[in-house]
Amino acid sequence: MDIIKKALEEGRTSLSEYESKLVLAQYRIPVTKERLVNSQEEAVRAAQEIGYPVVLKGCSPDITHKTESGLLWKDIRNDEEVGQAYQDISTRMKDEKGAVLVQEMVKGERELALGLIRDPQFGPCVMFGLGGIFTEILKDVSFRLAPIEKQDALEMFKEIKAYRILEEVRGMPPVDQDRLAQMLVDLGHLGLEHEGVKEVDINPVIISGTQPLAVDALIVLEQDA
Amino acid sequence: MDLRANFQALFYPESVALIGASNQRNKWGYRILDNIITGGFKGKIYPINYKEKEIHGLKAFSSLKEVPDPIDLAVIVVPVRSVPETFEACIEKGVKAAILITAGFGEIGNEGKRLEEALTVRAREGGIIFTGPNCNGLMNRGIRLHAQMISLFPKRGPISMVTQSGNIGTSILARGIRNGLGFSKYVSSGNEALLRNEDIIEFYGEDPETEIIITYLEGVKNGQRFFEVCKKVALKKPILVMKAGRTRGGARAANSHTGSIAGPDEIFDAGCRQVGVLRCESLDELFDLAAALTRQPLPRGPRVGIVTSGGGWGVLASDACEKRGLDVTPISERSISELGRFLPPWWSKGNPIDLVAGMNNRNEVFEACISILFKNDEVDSIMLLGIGLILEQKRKKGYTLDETEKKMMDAEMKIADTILGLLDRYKRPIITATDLNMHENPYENPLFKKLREGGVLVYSDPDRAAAVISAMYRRYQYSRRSKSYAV
Repeated sequence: MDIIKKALEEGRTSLSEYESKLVLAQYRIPVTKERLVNSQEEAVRAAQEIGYPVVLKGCSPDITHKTESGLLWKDIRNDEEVGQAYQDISTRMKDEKGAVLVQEMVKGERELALGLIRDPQFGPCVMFGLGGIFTEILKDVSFRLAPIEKQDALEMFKEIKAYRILEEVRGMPPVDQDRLAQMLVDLGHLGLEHEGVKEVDINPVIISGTQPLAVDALIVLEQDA
Repeated sequence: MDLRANFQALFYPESVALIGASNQRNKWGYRILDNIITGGFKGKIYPINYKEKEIHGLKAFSSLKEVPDPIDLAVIVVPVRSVPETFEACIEKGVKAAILITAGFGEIGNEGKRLEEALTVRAREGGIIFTGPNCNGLMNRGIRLHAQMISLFPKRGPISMVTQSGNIGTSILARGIRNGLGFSKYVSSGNEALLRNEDIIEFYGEDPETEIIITYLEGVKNGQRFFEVCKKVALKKPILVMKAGRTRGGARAANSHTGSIAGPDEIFDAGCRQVGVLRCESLDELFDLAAALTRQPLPRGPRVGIVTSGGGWGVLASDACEKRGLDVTPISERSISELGRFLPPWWSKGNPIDLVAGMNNRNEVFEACISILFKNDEVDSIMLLGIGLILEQKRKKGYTLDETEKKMMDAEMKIADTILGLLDRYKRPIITATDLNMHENPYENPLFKKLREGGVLVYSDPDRAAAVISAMYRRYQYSRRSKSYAV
């Protein structure tokens, strides 16, 4: 895959959110509608095309913690707000190379996490668990060695304590588990086919209606692979 | 390298040379030879020692070269400095397999590691496979080959083991002998310079004499291959793994959230679940499960019926079952009324079935309870608690049993035949547990002895029994799953 190859050649150790999602999309993993823009005008146009409300994020391979750096503006409802957000983010990012990402705002109460790590002994392993801020706090996650089959993914869901979050709960419809399982299977293939991919975080995966959607993503690269 | 011939030489040699054999009884070169002879090996045995004429009643040879016949298997106990030249002699002689007992290699540091690597390279070039170094031997009970440091001779049976620690292996064999469990093969893999754990598991997978595989691990050199082999073998045979080193590991250097959560042990654990390997937490669990798999049918569902002599243990058993994902299921009105015909009026009228210390016709009552629950398809397995205690009554010297007491004792002894008969009739597991602390010597209790001879162990508490049922059910689920995948 050209994005990974190019980044490795440039000596980088990670892909930006935008690049990460391009890679995931090639593995049929559903990602948010988004555009990378370099001016306020482009930002407004992108927001109009995607449809309000939108999210604006600073996007650069050097930035892995957008919330902490004030580079994330959520629930933007009109052109004027896009302008403000664009200006604010680009001011904060002035020392770094990068652009601004205009992204659809995904609504959903349920946040999950999908991940991949390359274990030195066991090779690429996929992870499934609770997403958002809970991933690291509760560590309610399950692992499998890639490649996995759909049945493995379904078993991973059942292994986490919060399994019921995938069922019909508080008026929310059950999650499309087949789709979610396929995402894990495909993520395993990504790990197997690209030695240079060291780790992947897809967090959060937000459940929109019944459908899982990758809202943020990070691919970490390994130079010596 | 035709590995098939090499494995044949390792496990089914027609001739064995013990290089470093000794007449001094405090040397491993004597002890191993003694074990080979005592074990009853029928093939040819050649002690090799450069100065002795005769060892342990056998003609000794000054070197491999002097032996007139071909050698299949070499057992090597020479000092570490002489190992390289011994390997060269083996290669020259056309030996196909070796057991390298000698220690002092990779386990002691870099210099030892280099020596070990050099030996491995030479072995590959010379067409030899070997176990070790730093191992305590190999056993193939079927041909009475006991090329091992320890003097343990279990009976023949379906269990084969490979262990990275000879010490732990010894402990399992000793438990096996004490509990009448049968073994087929044993390999202490030591430092695993050439033959690794998974190579032996792969061999056991194809070995018609092995039905149950147990392994003790401290580390895996090639994790991906380990699980590939296990995946293939677990389709046919249960693999029980005890892996130490859970507490080491810890956080790895990671740049992602996923990376910071994934400890090596979580990954190993996940791999076991994925390929249907039964990971055990302790030696007890490993042993208990191996014993149960030897004789008991697999439960085809999670429903457990608890039949108990007293209330407290029934409660503990329920908790232990539920904690491990089993289901202490309610039983139907129909079965409750059928059971009522055999039980005292004050019985629990539900699951657990509590006899509340009823003493009369215990054997008949147990038999009726288990039969009704199985016949009416109420449960998939039975946990039977509190048998055999009546046989342990303390008596004054000269006390004579009266007819009633004799009958009571005889009836208790019949429980063994009942259990064994029901296992065969209903093809569902019956796991028993009794507080062994209440017994003078549990191994001597005549009921337990009789059960043991029939292949059924009495576990020391309901928790261990629940662990066994739960693992057997996981095995059943995996075997179903793998069937549904089979092309």
